[in-house]
Amino acid sequence: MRLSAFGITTDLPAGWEGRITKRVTPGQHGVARSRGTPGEVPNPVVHLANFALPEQRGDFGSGAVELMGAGHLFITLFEYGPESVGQALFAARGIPTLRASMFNPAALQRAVAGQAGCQRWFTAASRAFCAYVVLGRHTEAPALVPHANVVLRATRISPR
Amino acid sequence: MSLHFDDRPRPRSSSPMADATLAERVVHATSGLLGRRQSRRSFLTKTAVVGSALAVNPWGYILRPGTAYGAVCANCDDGFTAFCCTINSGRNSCPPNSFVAGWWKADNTAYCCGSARYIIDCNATCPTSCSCRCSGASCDNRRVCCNQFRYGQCHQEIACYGPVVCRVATCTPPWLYDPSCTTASATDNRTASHGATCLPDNCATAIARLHNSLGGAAGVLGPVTRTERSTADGSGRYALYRNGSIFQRDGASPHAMQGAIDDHYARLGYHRSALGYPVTSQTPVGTADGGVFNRFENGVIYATFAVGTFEVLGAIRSVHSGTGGVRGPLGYPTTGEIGWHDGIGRYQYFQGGGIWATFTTGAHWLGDRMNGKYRALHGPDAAIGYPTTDPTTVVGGRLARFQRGTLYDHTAGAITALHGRTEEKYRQLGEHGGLLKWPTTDVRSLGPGYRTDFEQGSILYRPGLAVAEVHGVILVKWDATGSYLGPLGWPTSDVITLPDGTGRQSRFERGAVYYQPGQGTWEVHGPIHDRYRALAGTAGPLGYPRSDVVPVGSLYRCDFERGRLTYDPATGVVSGP
Repeated sequence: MRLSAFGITTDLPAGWEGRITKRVTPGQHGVARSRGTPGEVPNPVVHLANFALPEQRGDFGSGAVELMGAGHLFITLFEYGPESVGQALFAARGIPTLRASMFNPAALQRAVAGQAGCQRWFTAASRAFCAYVVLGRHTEAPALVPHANVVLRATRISPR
Repeated sequence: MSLHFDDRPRPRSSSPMADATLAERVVHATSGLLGRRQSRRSFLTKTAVVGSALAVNPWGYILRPGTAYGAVCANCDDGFTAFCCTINSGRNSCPPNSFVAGWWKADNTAYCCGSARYIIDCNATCPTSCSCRCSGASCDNRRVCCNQFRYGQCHQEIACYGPVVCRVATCTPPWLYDPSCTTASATDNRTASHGATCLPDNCATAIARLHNSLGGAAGVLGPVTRTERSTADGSGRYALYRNGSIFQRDGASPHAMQGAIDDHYARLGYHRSALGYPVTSQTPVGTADGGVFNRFENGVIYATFAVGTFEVLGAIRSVHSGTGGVRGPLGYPTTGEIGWHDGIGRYQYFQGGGIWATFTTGAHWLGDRMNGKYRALHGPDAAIGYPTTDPTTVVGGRLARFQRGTLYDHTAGAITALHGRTEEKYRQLGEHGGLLKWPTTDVRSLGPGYRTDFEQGSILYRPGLAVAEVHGVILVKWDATGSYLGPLGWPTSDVITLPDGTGRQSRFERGAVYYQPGQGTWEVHGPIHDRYRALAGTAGPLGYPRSDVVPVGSLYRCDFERGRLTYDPATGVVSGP
C-alpha cells in the first residue's frame, strides 16, 4: 500500500498501516484558539505501524504506543521547519538505517515497560526530520529492526 | 438532575459550548451545578486541578470527586518526566546543567483557561552525570533524568544531549519563552492534565483570565514580565507583560493597558498616580485617526499616532467630556495637565484649544483661536486673568469672560482681549451689539492712557479722567489733530448729541470737537473754546463752528456760523462778539 502526502511517499508492507497528516494551523479562520497559538507552524507527521493505529495520537505516538504488543513496531517521521535545515542537530543526511543496538528502553518519549526506542535526526531533500521508532518489546529488537528498515527504505522524501 | 452528554455530531448552535469537547462540556455543566453551592471565586480557584481531572476522566471525577488527585498527579511508573518546579526549588524553569531542548503542546487545557498549554523539555547537557531517579514529590513523583528523548525544536545548534531532566509547564508559547525555540508545533493532548502542586495556576485569578482572553502570551499583552502580585499599598493587584499591564482594584474587575497607554501609565506611576486604577481596558475611540483610550477612576489616557499619548484628569476631564471629548471641538490632548507658574492655576492644551482651571474659577475651555490669543497674551499672566466662563456664541462671534476681562472672537474679524475700565465701558455700551460693534484691537497703551479701537469707534481712557467712547467723524478729527498729543488732549466725554438734536460733540481736556450735518467737523480749543462755551456754545449767538482754531500771524482765530473769535497770546485776550 502506498501513502503519499506533503512530498512524503512510502510503500507499506502487508500488515502495516500509516497516516501522513498535518494538524490545523492556529490562528487560521475557523480554528479555535484552544488549538494553539497564532504563529505555531504545524508540519507533516508520518505515523507507520504494524498494528491498528488509534485515531487520537500524539505526534510522537502517545495513545498508540500504549497499545503495542511484543511484535509491534511504531515509526514516526516528524518534520521541522525550514529554519532547522543546516542546524547541528540535523547534520545527518538521508533517512537513517537502524541497528538493534541503537534501541534503548530509556529512549522513549514516555517509558512503557518492555518497550525500547530510538531517535535519529536527519535532513533529506533539504527538509529536517526526526525519525522515532518504538519497539513493542526491546528483546525482540533483532527481529523487529529489519522490518523497520524495510519501511524506512521504502520511504522517499521530496523537496518542499 | 441528570447529566447527559454524548459525542454524536450536533447541529450548529450559537451556544458557546456547541463545539466544546466532552471535557469542556463537563466543566461547563459542573460549574453551573457547583456554582449554586459555593462561591464563584471558590470554584474558579479550583478549576485548574478540577479541569485537569475532568479532561482525563470526567465521568470518574463527576461521580467520585476524590479521584481528582489521581487524575492529575502521578507516580514514577507513569513513564513521564517530573516538572521542573518539583525538583528545582519551586522554579518552573530549567535547572543548572540542563537546557531548553524542545516542546509540545496540549490543546484546550484548564491550566491555561481553555487555551493551549505548552510543555518544554529541559534536557541534560552533554556529557551528563545526571542519573535516572524518581522525584520523590507527593503529587509529581515522576521520573528525573530517565527519558533519553528530545522534541528538538529548541537549541538545535546543540546536537549532543542527555536525558530529560524535567519539564516546564507554561501558557507562554515556547518561541516567546526562549527565542532559540522554533515554532514547529508538536502536539500531545494526553499530557493536558499533568500537574504538580508547585505549578502556577495560570487560570486562578481574574487577571490571569483577562490576560488569557487577550490571547495570552502570544496576544496583545505578550508574555508576563512581572507575575501577578498585590500592589505595594495593598489596594489591588497587578501583573506586567511585555506589551502592557493589567491592574485590578480590590473588589473591582481587572483591566488591561497596552502599548503607548501602558507606557504612559507607567511613567505617571501606575495606580499611585492621580489616575488611580483603570475602569476600562483599552478601547478604540472609533475615529479615523486610530485613537484609543483607557478610562481610569480619575481620568482618561488617550493615544494616537499623530498626537501622542496624554492623560486628562479631574475638572479638566469633566470640561473636556462636556465638550464632547475627543470627538468635540477640543479633540485629543496635546499635553498633559500642567501647573501655571503662579502656583494657582492648571492648564492643558488640546488639538482644538485649551482648558484652564483654578480652584476659585473652575475649569473652562477655550477654542483654538481664543486659546491661541490667550497664550499670546501669556495666559493667566495677562491682565484678563483666568477664564470664568466657557465660550458663548453670540451674533457674529463668540466671547469668553475672564476674571478681569473678556476675549472677543469676531468670526469675520479679529480676536481681541479687553479688560479693566475699557471692558467695563464696552459692556455698558452693549458690546458687539452696541454702537461700536466688534473690537479690532486689544487695549493698547497710548502715552499716559489707553486706546482700544472698534469697528465703529474707539474707547479712550487716561487714568484720572473719564473713560470715553469717540466715534465717527469726531474720532477722525481728533486723530487728525494729533490725538492726545494735539491741542485737544484726552477726551473727557462720550460723543453726545447737542440740544438741537442734530449736531454732536465730544469734549476733551482742552477743548471740544463739534459736528453739524452738512457743515463739517471742527475742533475748538484753548481760550477761544473757553469764550465760546461762556457764550453758550452752539446754543449761543455764534452757533456752530465753521473752522478749527487756526494761527493767523501772531493770533489764533476760529470762525463760527454767526461770527468769529480771535485770541492774542501776547495779551491773553479773546476778542469777538
